[in-house]
Amino acid sequence: MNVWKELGPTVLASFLASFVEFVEALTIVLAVWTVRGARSALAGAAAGCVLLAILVFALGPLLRFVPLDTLRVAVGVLLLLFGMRWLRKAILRSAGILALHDESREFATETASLAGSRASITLGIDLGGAGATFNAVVLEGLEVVFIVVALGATGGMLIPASLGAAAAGVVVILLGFIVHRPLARVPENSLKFVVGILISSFGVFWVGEGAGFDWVGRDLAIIGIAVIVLLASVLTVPIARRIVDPVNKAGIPGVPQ
Amino acid sequence: MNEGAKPRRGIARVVLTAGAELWGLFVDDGMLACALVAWCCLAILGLPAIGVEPAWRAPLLLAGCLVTLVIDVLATALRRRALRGASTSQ
Repeated sequence: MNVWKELGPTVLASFLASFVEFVEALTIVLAVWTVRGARSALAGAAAGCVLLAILVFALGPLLRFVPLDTLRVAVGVLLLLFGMRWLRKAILRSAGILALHDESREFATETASLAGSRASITLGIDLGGAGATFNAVVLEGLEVVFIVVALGATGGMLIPASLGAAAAGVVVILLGFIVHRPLARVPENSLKFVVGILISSFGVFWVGEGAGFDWVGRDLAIIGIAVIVLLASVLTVPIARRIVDPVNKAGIPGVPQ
Repeated sequence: MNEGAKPRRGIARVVLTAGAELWGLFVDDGMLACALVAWCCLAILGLPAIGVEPAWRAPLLLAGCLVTLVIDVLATALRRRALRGASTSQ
């Protein structure tokens, strides 16, 4: 029970954040798979994974040379920026100010774009298709790497954070193989809402820790911070909705998809 | 000279694209990012300097970040309403 209290927030934040990123990468991989075949899609994805692994092994050890408090403040600020960016978008989407992200539309756009361009085959691999999956895996993967390193490195939680991300990867890949189409039913905005809250909470916590501020409850303060951030965000949704659409008074607090 | 300039331009483009992608990881709305960084700096350096009680520093850090987020979201909503108003009046 105590172990889960300590590791839970890190594993959960890493799992959910990585899940969203993997779903976005999977959409592109499936689009390439459909139009240009499995070999091109998997070759690009594999190359992307190799580049990410090289980046992690090359840059990861450098973190040891940064003083811990400086590292905590720097990582905390980056987590705060990353989390608040997601949270802002999720609030605006819930309030109807921004359009919801649509994986099916993303899939259709990517498929149409690939179908409209000429294939350039080398060694049985279409370079355009492989390039698209390579880009998707590297860009979404970079976010996963950042989340894992940022959540793990500052509090000695690298293994739990990695396990959370790995579990998300396995779940998304399995789902992708089973349904073989974009995971459009994933409530992405609700997930981004939760992830934004968790990542922002970790960010504020680590900035405070690095600055030498005292959090009531030590590490468990993260849960309290998350509850406060959740309340502030949920209360902001109907206010923002009423500003944009004053006629519609149904500003029900919540995190609708 | 021109032959050397082409690959350099290619490398510069890759570096610029990578930089833009990295920037986009953390910054969506420049005002929100600047305000959050400014508040963190102010809280870390300013709160101890003006003698705020240690027990209040962490809650104030959190409160400042939340106020920044809420103001940014509401400002975006107001901008959107103004845009809608302008488009319907045309």
